[in-house]
Amino acid sequence: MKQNHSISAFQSYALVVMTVVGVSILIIPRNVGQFVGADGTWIILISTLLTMLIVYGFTKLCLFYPNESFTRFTEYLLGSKRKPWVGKLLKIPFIVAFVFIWLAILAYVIRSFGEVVVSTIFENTPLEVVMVTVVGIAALVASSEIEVLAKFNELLFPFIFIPLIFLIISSIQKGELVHLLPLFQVDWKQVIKASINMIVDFAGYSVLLIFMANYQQPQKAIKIHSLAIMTIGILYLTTFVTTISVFGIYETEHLFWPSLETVRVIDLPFQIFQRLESLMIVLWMVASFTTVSNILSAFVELIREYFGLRKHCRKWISLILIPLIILLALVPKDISEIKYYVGIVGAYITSVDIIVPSFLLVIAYFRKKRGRSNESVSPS
Amino acid sequence: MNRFLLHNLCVILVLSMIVTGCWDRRELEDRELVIAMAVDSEKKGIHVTSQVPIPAVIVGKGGGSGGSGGKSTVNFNARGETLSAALENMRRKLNKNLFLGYLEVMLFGEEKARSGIREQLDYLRRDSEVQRNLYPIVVKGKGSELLDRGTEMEQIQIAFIPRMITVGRKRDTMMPTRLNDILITLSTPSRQVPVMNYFGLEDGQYKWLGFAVFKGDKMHGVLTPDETVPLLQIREKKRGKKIFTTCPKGTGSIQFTPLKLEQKIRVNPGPKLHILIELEGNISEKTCTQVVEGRNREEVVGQRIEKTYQKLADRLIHKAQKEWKLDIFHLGDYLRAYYPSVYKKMDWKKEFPNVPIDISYRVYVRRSGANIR
Repeated sequence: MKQNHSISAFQSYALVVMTVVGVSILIIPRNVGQFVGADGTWIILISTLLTMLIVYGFTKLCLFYPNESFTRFTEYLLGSKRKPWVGKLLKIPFIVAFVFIWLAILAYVIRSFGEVVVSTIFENTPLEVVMVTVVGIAALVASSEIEVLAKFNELLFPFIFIPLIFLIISSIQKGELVHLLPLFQVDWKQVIKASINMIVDFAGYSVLLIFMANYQQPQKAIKIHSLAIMTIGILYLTTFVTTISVFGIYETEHLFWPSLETVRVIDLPFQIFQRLESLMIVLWMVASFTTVSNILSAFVELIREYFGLRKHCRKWISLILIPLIILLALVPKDISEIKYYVGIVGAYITSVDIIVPSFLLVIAYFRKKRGRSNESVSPS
Repeated sequence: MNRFLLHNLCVILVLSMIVTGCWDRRELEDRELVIAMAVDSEKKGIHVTSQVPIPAVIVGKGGGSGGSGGKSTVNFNARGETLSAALENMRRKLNKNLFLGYLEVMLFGEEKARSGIREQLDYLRRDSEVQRNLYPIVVKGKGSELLDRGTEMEQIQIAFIPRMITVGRKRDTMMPTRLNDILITLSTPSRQVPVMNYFGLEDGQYKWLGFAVFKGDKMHGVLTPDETVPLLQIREKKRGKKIFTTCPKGTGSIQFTPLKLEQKIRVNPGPKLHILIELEGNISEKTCTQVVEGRNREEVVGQRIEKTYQKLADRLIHKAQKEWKLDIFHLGDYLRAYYPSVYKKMDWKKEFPNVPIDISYRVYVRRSGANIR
């Protein structure tokens, strides 16, 4: 099957940013502040750098086979040409690993998003209804071609920066420098633990394993992906600093959705616009919605390619996935249980994201070295 | 292809029915908008008064057909052990749902404030509709009295108070305390001393009487308008209200309007705190019988004003340290942020009364008053 190279450089940038930025931006100030207090300011920076390293690994791996997607190149990487079934068999654990990651992220994003909406706006609406509508529409988007998805992301990309304006206004109006101090109070063990814990908040970049096959200019990918992760880091940092400056670490711990509350305390002139948080929720809805649709799309593409199905099957695959995701999202009983599961699944995601690409990279490095001449002549 | 289109249309149609948000539709007409709420303590539980505007009357007044003299608001009373219980009782008198999203002022009767308001604050924090920007105030006497009587200027009488605080905030003379500030103060261990504005009635009109100082969630004491000046300057870096001082020579008084303030806190080992406040401002009134001559008359007047400020501040620091033993200036929070090693070593709350704090003022008089001679 021929891949079409339809994702432009900017679209790939938007794709990564929109996939990663989701519901976690609402709770980052609390999650980080709880463990390391005001020191989160620079711990976010450290974990941004760590994530950039991981993404560098992913990108490097994909660059070995620039026009092939994950399902295809793992087969070449792990198997041999004489016995193709070896590769087909050995790639299964790797694919399953990412299937679990994406399922977990999808379930988490949808559940948290549902919780946000139900606890702030639609108080009488059942959680399930909100979740089903979001997943349903996301599935509709995800079943379209990757090219369409990339354009969709590009279109919505500017919207996720609007909340920043309000966060900064709030910080200027209500922020206190005292809340952001003292810095450098945590010891090194905590720093390392917190930075590694925070990598989960960037989870979702693994979709590039699928999407990179469609890049127009894969050679630019390293630069673009680093830029994307940097953008996300800045987004997270701004959210953290503004929220903490308004509430301080102690009050932030008491807030369910700290970034949302930050916007709620803005003093607006003339009381024309009240309840800015509704606008915020709409904008964050965009961010989490693209997260869901992008990951779902990558997921569908993975399944489609694995079973070698035709393009129009995407719709049916995504339809089948809806109940699975909803059921998984309903596993935690309440918000505190979500947190408990995130702790477990988060460790799994981070370790897979670190181990898998580095393992495959090592193999790719040795095999490429040995069979460079073979590789270049063998078409897929 | 045609079948494909039909298929998609069906999906969109079905989705649009669910996603319009009609599931959770709440009409404005179905809500009783509470503008102000007063909480007073009773022998058993609390007494809650909610003020609700009558939409028809308010619309009528705007159209010019008003002037009928009818009241534009209704007060609902209810009793209960807790705030939520009282509100539940209140619902039995209403034909609509209570909506606290437009709550602008929360009035606490002094007696209630002194016995603790943690429970009520908790309710306000939990209700996602309640704005964190509302003004909580303490009322001398009963809170509900302010809802019954008061300055009759605004369509909704009680709206006078939030406007008053807003203006006071802009002029730097009042504590800009919102619900948000109270909640932050109570959850930050190094703060714990909320300050609310203190209101009362005088000749049937609202009057600002100073600050109500809390210890945790319980009201501890009252600061008079004069005492609020150093508190605002040290704690909030605000200028405070105008002050009067006596003339350097002869009789009469000088009124000083501060325009700019700079505040520095120095911590010497010990710890020993030194607060320096620099003020810049104008003389807005002078009724001195004798004129100060010479080139340094601004300085002479400035020193005079410094002394007045100094006296006020010293008295307040003494009150805080020796009488109340309460860090009303939130100096502990400053230490936590800027001198964490010092703060960690000591039990600030216990040691605060014995920490030497001295304050010095520097006043620059920019225009000492144009005397036409």
